[in-house]
Amino acid sequence: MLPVESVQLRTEILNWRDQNYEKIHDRLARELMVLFSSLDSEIKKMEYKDIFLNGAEYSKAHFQPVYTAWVEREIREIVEDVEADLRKVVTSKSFQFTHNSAQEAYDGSSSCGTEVATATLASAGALVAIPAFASWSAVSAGGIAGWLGVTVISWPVVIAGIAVGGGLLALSGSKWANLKENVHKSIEKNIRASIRQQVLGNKENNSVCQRLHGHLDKVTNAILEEIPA
Amino acid sequence: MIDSIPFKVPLEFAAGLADGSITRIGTLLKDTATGQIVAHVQETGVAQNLLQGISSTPFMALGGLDLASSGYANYQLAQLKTMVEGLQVLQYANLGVALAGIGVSVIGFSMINKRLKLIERQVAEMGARIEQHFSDLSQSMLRHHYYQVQTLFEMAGQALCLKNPDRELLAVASQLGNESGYFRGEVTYMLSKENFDPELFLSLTRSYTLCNAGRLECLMLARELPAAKKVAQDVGSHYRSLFDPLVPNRIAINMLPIEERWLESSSIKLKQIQGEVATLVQGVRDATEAALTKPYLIDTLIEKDIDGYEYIKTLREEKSNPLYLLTAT
Repeated sequence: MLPVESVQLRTEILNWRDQNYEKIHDRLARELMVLFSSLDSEIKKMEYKDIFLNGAEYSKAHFQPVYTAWVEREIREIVEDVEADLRKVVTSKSFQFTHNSAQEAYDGSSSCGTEVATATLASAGALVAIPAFASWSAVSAGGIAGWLGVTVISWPVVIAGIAVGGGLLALSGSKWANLKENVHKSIEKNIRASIRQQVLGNKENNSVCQRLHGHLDKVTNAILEEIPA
Repeated sequence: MIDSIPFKVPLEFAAGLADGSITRIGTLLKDTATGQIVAHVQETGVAQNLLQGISSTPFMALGGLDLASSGYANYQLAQLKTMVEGLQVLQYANLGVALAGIGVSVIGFSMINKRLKLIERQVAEMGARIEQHFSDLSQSMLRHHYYQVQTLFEMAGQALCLKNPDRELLAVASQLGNESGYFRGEVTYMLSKENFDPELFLSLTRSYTLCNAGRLECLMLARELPAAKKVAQDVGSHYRSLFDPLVPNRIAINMLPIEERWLESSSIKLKQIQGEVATLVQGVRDATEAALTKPYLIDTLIEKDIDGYEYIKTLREEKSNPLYLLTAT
């Protein structure tokens, strides 16, 4: 029979996974507005020559750093939050877990990142290594691209293309006085649509959110396998 | 007879549960400090009669149940209130635990059949949706299995009129194992698809859990407690495999048309679906926890040398209390 404490711990781990699935999604959806606001400021600075002559270079030089910094900050804060929630579960009084302070740097070889805790399940008397969701130092050492895949931090080439294409499209039927504003709005709209897909979700299943959810699944399964049966 | 089995009522543990000295896990209560099991939650026939009247909302939050509109007469309404209060004392949030039977199922074979007929009718009304979810599953195949299961429960009911029903009950239990496997297979297949239909999922899951509840009841009545314990363990393990991967956020996103999934304008709709799915997932998770702790109850019956047939019979014949706690110490 599954030890009674294992039944309880399983439920708490599953609840942790479910809550963080939602939290990651909601946080990214909310914080996208901050990113869009920052990008809008950069877009408004675009002159005609930037739009029509060197849109791709401008995009890479001015938009990409904003996006990359945002993604790194969000992933770092998400990793810290999810990990803190996991620690609350495994260190809760009822399970009498004790943590091992030794942390190994993430080398990209493990499916679950570092193992940061050892635990004693009181009734089962078994030692269990509880895999961490991730530690930010380990993730940053190995690189986010190595951890979640290169797509989550790369500035999509398609966006640069869309920016210029959208700008050209906005030329048609515009009055000269409103032209720049229309072009900016068109670029904003296209960039937002592309980024939403890259951050929240897409058919290829490789957005920031989908990759983080995938990692959450892997860690959950690894923990459930470690719980004494 | 009830006096010969060490039962208590939920209120006797209310103080311990409230101050945290007793913790409920699934359907068992344990001493928080020592980890020792102190009691097991056990339904009676009264509980199952009452649940029948509100079974259209199996995962309704206890706090949200509109007892007055249940259509029960005063006496039954008072019993229903007692049951809901008992479940609340035991810190259950919804009726998910009842899906797999609270403790050992004492639902009775004729009542199982009533429920199955209702589910079968609901499934029949989903004709086109079944085609959409199961390209290789026809209505006639499902109908065949529902008739098969209903016949088995009739046979189990008839067996109880025999002088020695054990052999017949064991044969029914064995065949119910096959039918349980059939429904498990369909639920597994359905969950492997990206589209999720909560209503169809619930219908198939309830059919599956009713097969398991009836199978255990047969084994208990045939006094085969070690076999019942093994079946309960296996069922718990199957529930884990089936229901652990269910994540409300993922299911809710997949329930939206693909072109709407990540749009800002879909966020309110997504939240609404997510809330509904979360209630459902919480329900099956409570049922899984209940299933995982059921072998402990059977273990207690074995340790205390309580006869399986008498145990079920006593609980079925109970007229006033919907819930008991079988003390383990």
